[in-house]
Amino acid sequence: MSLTFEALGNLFRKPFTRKYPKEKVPVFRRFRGKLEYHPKKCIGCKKCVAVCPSVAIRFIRKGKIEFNLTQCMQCGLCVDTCPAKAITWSTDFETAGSDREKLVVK
Amino acid sequence: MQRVCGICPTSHSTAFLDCVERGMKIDPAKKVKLLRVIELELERINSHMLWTGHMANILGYKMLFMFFWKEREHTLDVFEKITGGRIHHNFSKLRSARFDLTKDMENFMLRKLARVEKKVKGYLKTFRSDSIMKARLRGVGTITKDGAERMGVVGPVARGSGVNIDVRKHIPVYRELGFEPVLEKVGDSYARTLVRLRETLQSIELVREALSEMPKTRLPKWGSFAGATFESTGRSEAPRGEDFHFIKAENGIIKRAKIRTPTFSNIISLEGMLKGREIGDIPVILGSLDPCFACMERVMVVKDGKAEDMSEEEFRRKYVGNNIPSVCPTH
Ligand code: SF4
Ligand code: SF4
Repeated sequence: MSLTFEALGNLFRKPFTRKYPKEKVPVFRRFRGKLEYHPKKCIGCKKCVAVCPSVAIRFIRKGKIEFNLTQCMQCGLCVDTCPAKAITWSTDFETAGSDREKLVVK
Repeated sequence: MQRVCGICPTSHSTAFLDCVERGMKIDPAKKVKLLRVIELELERINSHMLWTGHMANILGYKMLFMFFWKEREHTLDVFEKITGGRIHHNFSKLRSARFDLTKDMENFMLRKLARVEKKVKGYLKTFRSDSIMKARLRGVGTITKDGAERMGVVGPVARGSGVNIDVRKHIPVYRELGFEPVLEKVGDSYARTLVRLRETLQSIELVREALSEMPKTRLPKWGSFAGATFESTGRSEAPRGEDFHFIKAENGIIKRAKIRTPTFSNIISLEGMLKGREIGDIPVILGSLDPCFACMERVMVVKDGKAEDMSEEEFRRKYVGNNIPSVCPTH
């Protein structure tokens, strides 16, 4: 019975779902989206490479590291480990696309 | 260890950490334990809501299904706010947790939980009074207390048959919160549904209590796994039952890991439940076990219609190669 009332009430409410591509979904501050790399801060200690469980980080030289987001699973170990805070999270969650090159954070 | 399952990631990481901390003889602070309780219970709310919605869908109640998943969205919001991930939370760390809760987050959580509680109470009333639901669920897939004990089923399936089995009642921090397992006697699909719905309400209560007992201290620094050598076991109560981990590690590298997932123990009872029922009851019975396919999947290599039989070493050499990362994650 209460269900009927709720269903009738829903007729007059706003839809609960959001019209996503038109309307941006707000995310909270702790959200883990794409990684961000700040080459200037990096001290080249390679700790992030050692700690990454899915081998997504390629170390080229100090200040030049590639994060392959197709392999990354957003575990956050590299962010927590980096002593110079050269890796941070962004709140960008739109990683779908047809170009793999776009998913390599440099 | 989070990546084992998408519905109960925290249970796996808690069991894993329980195992590692036992092996390394670390006793985490009370605050950390309470934070883990909150995570686990939120996850249970989440999983049980998902399941009940799904069950309503099987019974043909599309609308109730939508309602449950709508409420579940609120618990997902809570997860996103406090841990940063909606499905994979990655909240626990060795000896500590990734973040602390702020006042704002606690209030947000309490507000959302109050809303969910009110709704779930209403839906529980529907489940108790609706005659079609009773007709579809009562006496379907019954497993007696004796049978449940003999087959070793775990979690809500066992508790629906009146078997008092729950990992949480052996954990000191839960005992301090006054935890008592939810039990039903009959052991049919209806009893299992009621157990899950009542557990949802109980979990909400547990989260509230854990929040009120939370000490105001700072979080300890999280520990490292490096150089540890041990062989240990750990367990936690996942939404579907007992989750068991065995880890053998040498010098900080895991040599052997074994996970015994809850659905694997529950699905065995399916045969006995199905006997003598109609075809139309199969989805209900299978659904009432809350089968999780991440829990149940095992690797089997079939070649030319024959299952290949091989040892762990051979499997590694043949299919995995040397690509296994040599450093183990801390969760
Ligand atoms: S977030 Fe995890 S998986 Fe992704 S690059 Fe960092 S350590 Fe590797
Ligand atoms: S851990 Fe940080 S400082 Fe060290 S190499 Fe990686 S990005 Fe650079």
